[in-house]
Amino acid sequence: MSAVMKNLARSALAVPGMVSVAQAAAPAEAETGYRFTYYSEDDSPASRSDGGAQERYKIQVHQFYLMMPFGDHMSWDIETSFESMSGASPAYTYKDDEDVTRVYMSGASTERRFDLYGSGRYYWSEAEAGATAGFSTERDYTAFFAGTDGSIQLNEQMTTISGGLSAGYDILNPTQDFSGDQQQQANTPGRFAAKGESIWQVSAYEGVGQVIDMNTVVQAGISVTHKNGYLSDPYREYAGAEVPYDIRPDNRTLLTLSGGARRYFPGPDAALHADVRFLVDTWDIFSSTWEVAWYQNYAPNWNWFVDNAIDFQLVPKLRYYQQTEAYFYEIPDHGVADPYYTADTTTYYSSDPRLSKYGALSIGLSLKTDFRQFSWTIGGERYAANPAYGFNGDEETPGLVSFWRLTTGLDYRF
Amino acid sequence: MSIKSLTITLVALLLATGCTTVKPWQRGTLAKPEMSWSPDPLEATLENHIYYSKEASFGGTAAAGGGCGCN
Amino acid sequence: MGGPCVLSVYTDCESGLMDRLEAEVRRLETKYSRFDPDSLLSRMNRSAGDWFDIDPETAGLLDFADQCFRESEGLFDITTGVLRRAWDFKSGRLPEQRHLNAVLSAVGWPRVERRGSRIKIPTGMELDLGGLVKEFAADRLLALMAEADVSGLVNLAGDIGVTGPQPDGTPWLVGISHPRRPGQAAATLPLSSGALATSGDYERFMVVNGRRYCHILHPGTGWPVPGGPASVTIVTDHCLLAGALTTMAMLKGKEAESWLAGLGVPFLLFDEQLTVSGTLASRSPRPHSQ
Repeated sequence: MSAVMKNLARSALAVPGMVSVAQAAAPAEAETGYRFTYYSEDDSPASRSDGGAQERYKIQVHQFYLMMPFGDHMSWDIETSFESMSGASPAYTYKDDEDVTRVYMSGASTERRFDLYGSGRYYWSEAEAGATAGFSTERDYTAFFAGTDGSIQLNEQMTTISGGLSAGYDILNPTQDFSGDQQQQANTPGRFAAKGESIWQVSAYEGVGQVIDMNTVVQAGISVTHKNGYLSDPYREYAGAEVPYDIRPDNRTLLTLSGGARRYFPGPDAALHADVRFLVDTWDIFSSTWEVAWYQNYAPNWNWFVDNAIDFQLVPKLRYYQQTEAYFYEIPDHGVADPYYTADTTTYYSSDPRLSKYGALSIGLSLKTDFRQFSWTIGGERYAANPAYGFNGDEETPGLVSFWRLTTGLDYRF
Repeated sequence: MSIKSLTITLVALLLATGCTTVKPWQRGTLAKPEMSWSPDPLEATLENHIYYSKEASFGGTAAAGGGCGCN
Repeated sequence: MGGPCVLSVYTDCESGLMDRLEAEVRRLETKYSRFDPDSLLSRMNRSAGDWFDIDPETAGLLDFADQCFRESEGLFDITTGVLRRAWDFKSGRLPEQRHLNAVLSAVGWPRVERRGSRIKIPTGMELDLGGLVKEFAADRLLALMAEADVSGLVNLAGDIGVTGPQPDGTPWLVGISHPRRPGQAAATLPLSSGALATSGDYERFMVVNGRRYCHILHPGTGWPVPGGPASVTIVTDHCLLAGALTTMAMLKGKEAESWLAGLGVPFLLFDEQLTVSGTLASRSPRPHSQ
């Protein structure tokens, strides 16, 4: 079919009511996209470092996506990403003899990660179902994932009930030390303990969406996830202690409740997104996530722009996250005889800042430019985590991350 | 904000079902890409991945995604 | 809607489907009628000079009209309705060029402003959706029939669409009017899916000094395009698209055939000498000779 016919056919299909709503909603055209992201964490303050590397992660991410319709009722897609990262991450946190909290950063390293996901979907007149499988691989970590999901529209298609089930299996291989076991245990006890360990994960999701009026749709959902296996961080270790420096329970159950709304404003030709998520888990963590975004469209009425179907979309985003600490979060005090350095793996402790009480604020801005069948996207995000943002004025939680992110990429529909 | 109030919202939502009907030909707006729950799949994947590796929380969406050894 | 309308539907009478189909046609007729002063179209045209709020359905149709304007390099223009003020096909008299020039100044789709769900028609101009609404109505009926899971054919005065093959699996047989012999089929085409539209110089025309002037008028000159096809039939997925394409082809004049071939769309074309061409010509039974 010629480009003229494609443009006209797409435009005809866009007229509301042209196609029976009961007809399968399979995607009519293929889409492919690429994104490049540069991600840079703020350096760890030297004053708090105990001598380890200070330069934190710099990550470059390449992402690729391809979705193809397959017949009238099906589509398939693949999504893949490749990351290369260098920099250090906090290995352990402690209070020194003067009770100053210090962070030891693990040595700078260069790592690569690759993942690939494939999925297929089938569309009925008022329902759809999909299945996804994929893996993620790194030098020291391999993860497999499979899931299935579906949705059905009820009540004259005003209500959508959706659900999903997924499972994951991760294998840890954190030690590259090929010396004898005893030596490994002495040199890198955390990594040695995690050698060959694995994690199982199962997750279930149930949601309901509701059309409120011509311009508004809302949804609410609940999910339960259970993890079982080696959940400690193998890289948090204190050389010389001969026991792992991070021992967490071997299972964790998380419950989330989420809600969201989308509202279109015809006057300014813009859409408002609002999303909220609450999470509780068996590690006593309670968290809430609040997100708002504004999708502002702008289509200039000048000939050249109109002829080339050029329009713009500016999207400012605001995100707030807050969590309480895990019940075993602890900054060990090296000034006192510490009860934690034992080989008893049922006494849990971790100084991972991600398990502390803190909050995080993020602002983002992106611009999408459509040109005929192409869309070019460029956007940035600033993220800063801070104990104060999580109403934690009592204790220091060094090692929390702040980062800048720049993402740009191209999409093509055909 | 408690879990209870969210549950009430959920129930209220279910009760609201059927009060107004938006005719199929009035649904053009809802079909706009910017009205979808996740307009940019690659951006959503990346965000989930970053927040997963930097925060203690994850999940809550239909597409839960897989794990990684991200530090 | 003008012209004979035929619905062939395999359904039981109890379902209420026929009532829904009729209601849908009436809804669109009421909304976009040129003759009803209370129709949305009339109110929109009366508000020329001011911004006017339009609903998503109208916006969708106008977006489609806009796409047609662009893809036809300005030939398909829904502001040409005003040319009716200069052309009276019943009178048998050609319009005066002076009069035509005056009316032409009120033609030009790019001068219509759009901002989101609002539209501003310049003072003195008006929109005519006559070339879109009948086709859209046919598509709506097909959509409603598909929703009710019934099989059928819609024929709104030559804009024809089917929900699929007949229940026994055979295609519907659709007759194509002979451009010079009203009421006679020049060809019969099998239609298993999609839609078919025909446009011709025989629908409304006058003959002056041996020359035929039809109602499909060029937005730049205000005159019919000389050397254009006698009729064009196009088969594609939807009536709305098929109808717009036949209008564009009529306005392409002598280039109609090569333009249609370039689009890669199945078509059947009778040129001025009634020579048949097009991808459908070979597949269909031979046109009746003489």
